[in-house]
Parts: sequence; structure tokens; C-alpha cells
Amino acid sequence: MPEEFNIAIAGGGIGGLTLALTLHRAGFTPVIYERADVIAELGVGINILPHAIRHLVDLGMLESLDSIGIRTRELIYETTTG
Amino acid sequence: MGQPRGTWAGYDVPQFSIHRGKLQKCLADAVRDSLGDAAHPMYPVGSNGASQAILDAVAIARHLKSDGVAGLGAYDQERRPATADIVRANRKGGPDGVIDLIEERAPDGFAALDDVASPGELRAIVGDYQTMAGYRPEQVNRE
Repeated sequence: MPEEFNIAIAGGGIGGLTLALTLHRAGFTPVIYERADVIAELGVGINILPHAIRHLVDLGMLESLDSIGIRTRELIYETTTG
Repeated sequence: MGQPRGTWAGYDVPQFSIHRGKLQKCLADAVRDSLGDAAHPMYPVGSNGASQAILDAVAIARHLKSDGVAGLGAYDQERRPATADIVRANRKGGPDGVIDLIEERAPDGFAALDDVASPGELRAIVGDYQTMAGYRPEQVNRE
């Protein structure tokens, strides 16, 4: 499909950035609009599930993710008493 | 998603609040759609905030590539049902709801988990959620 339209992505979060990279691979040239001047961590942890990670791996991000993240080995649910 | 709507997955949601201000003018004639937290009115428990956003993004790109702007309709049809159950489940606590169940039954703690809830019961809460959200190993691993 030839590019007959412009694509604007509102927000450069995980979804917006993933969309931009995936569209770029597909031959589009999207423009991201992001109000923050720099992309920085917020001090929160984000777990990304295997079926989503698979797509980030397809985008060639496995090595860089491994360098900054921790592979989830197990998920433990605990109550206040254990 | 798609055309402006007042509800999503049966819930009232604000419409296109991100398009206020500067963007509004240049997007007046644009076809708009949303993904991730902007599209799913839920508290993103169960690791489904970023994960579903990524799945949405990949789906949008695939449909735009194959059908152009018209593909957004197919994106909506693909991702709305896939995420609606997650939105509903997360409003009831999602997989983390297993903690509430145990605390409710054994507020003073427990010696053995099996005395509080059966393995089958626990599997039903956490395991069914895995299947619904699509990340059981057998759903994810490539053939």
C-alpha cells in the first residue's frame, strides 16, 4: 500500500513509540507529537508480557532490553500475612 | 476507537481529550484512532498496560499497511473484543484479585494455602486471566 496519507502519533509513550517503529518498518514515516522534552523514566516498574515482548524482539530490541531490564522469572502473589 | 464514541466496552469514556489545543486545528480533518491506555478505560493491572499498547500498535501498523486508513476499522474489530474482557476483568481486580480472595477468607493468615483455596480455584483466577489476555506459553511460543 503506497503512502497516500500522513500519520501523526499523539504521545511518545510505549504504545506511540512501538507504533512508530513498527510503521517505519512497514515503510511509513510517522511523526510523533510528545509534550515532554526528553524521554525519561518515571521511577515505576513495568512488566511486559511475553506476547508483547515478542514484537519488541521483532523490532530488534532484545539486546537493548536485556541491558536495561530484568527478565521476569516468576510472579508471586502475597497477602499482607504472606 | 475509530469514530468518536461516548462509550467503550460498555463504559463511558472521555472523547479525544488528547486532541485539545494545538493538535486540534491540524487534525480537524484527520481520521483518528487510539491505542493502549487511551483506548482501554481500565486500571492496567496484570501487566496489561504496556503489553496491550504494544499489541495494539502492532495491529494498527499491520492494518494500515494492508488497507491504508480503511484498515482502522479492521483494527477496531480485532482489538476491541481482544481487550474488552481484560478491561472488565481488571475492574474486578484482574489476576491480583487472588490476593483479595485469600485475605477475605483468611484475614489472620494461614498455615497452608490449600486450606484457604484449592489449587483449581487459584488456577481459575490467575490461569483464566492468562488465557484471556493471551500470554499462556502455548499461545505465545512460535510454531
